[in-house]
Amino acid sequence: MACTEFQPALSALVDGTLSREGKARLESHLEECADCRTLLTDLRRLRESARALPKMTPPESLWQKVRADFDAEASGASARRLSAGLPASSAKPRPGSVLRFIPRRPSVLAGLAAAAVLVLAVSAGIFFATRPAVPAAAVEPTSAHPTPAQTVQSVEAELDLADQHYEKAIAGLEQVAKEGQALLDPQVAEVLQKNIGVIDQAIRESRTALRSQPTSELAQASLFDALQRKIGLLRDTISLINEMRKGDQAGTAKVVGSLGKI
Amino acid sequence: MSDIGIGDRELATRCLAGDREAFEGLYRQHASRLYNLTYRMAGQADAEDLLQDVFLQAYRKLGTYKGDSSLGTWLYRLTVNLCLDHLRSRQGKMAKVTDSLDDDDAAPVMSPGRPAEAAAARLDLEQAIEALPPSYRSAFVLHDVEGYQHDEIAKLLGIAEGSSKSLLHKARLRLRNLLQG
Repeated sequence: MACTEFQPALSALVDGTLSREGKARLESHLEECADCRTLLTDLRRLRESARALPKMTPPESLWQKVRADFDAEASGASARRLSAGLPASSAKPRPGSVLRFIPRRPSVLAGLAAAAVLVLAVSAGIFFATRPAVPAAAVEPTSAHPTPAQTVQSVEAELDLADQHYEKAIAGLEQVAKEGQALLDPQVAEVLQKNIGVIDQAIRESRTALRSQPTSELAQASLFDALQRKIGLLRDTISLINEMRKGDQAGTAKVVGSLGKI
Repeated sequence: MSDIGIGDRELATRCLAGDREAFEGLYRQHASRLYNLTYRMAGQADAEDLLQDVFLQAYRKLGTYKGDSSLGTWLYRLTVNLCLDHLRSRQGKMAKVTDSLDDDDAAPVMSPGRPAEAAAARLDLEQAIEALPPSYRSAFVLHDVEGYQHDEIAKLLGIAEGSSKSLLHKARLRLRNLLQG
C-alpha cells in the first residue's frame, strides 16, 4: 500500500477513532515508513497546538455596537407593531435594515450617528406604515369617491407628513454633524457648507413648485430627492468626522471624495 | 455539547419583546464562545464585525427559535452559517478557486513533506488557519480548536460524517505544509 492510502488513518489514529484492525495495519506500516512516522508526529503536534490556542475575549466596545443594533431594531419593531396593532412576538424584521449605516469600527460618534439614523428610520417607518390611513380618513366622512379637491388635500397632508419626518431626521443628523464640526478642515467644511446650500436651495424650489402644483409627481420626486441628498451628505459628513477621529487618512480621502458629488 | 438551558425560550421571548436587559444577558452569556469561533473562522480583522452581525441576525431570527435545542447551540449554528457565508463571499471576491463543503476532491491531498506553493515563509498557526479554504477551515476549527466530534460537525455543516473526517485530514495536511513553508 502506498503512503497516501495510510494518511487518513493517521488522522484517525491521532483522534483515537481508528478501528483495532486499522490500527494494526497502520502500525505495521509505520514500522517501515519514516515519512509516515514524521507525519504522525506533526499531526499530533498540530492538534495539540490547535487545542492550546488562546481563548479570545471580545472587546467591551463590541457590546456598545450590538446594543445600538438592538435598540434600532427593537425600536423599528415597536413602531411596526404599533402601526399594525400586532403583539410583540409577531413582529417581523424590516428588510434593508438601517443598521448598515452604523459605523462598524470604533468611533466616538458612532453612538450619536446611530441615534440620528434611528430618528430617520423610525420616522420613515411610521410614515410609510401609516401612509394608507391618510387618504382613507380624508375620504370616508363624505363619499366613497374623493372629489378632486379632497384628493389634493390628502396628497398635501401626506406630503407635509413625509416632509416633517425628513426634516426631523435631518435635524438629528445636523446635530450630530455639528458636534464634530471642529474636527473638519476649514476648506472641507466650506465645501460641505456650499453643498448643503445648493441642496437647501433645491429643497426650497421644490417646495415652491409643490405649493402651486401639489399633485405634480415631478415636483414631489424633486423634493424627496433633495431631502434624501441632504441626508446622504450629512451622513457622509458624520463618516468623515469619524474617520478624522480615527486618523484614517485613506478613509478620510474616500469620504472627502464623495462629498463633492451631490 | 448540547446544554439546553432553563428559561431559554423565555429569554428569547423577552429579547423579542425589546427587553434590552434580556438581550444583554444573552450577549454576555454567549459572546465569548462565539467570538472565538468568528476569530478563528474569519480572522481577527473581521471577527468583531461578524459577531455584531451574529447578534443582529439572532435578534431578527429569534422568532424562529422553538426551544428544540439550547439557545447556545442555536446561536452557535447561526454563527457557523454566517462565518461560512462570510468566507465564501470573501473567497468569491478574491476570485479564488471555490470548493464545495462535501466535495472530497475539492483540493489535492498533499504528500508528506511537500511544500505549499503559497507559503514562501513560515506562518504561525493562526495565519495558516486563515489561509485554509472555507470547508477545510470549518472542519479544522470545529474539531481541533473547538473540540467538536465529527457527528456534531456533520450536523452543523450539513455534510456527511465521512466528509467531515476527510475535510479535517486534508486541512491538517494543508496546515502542515503551510507551517513547513
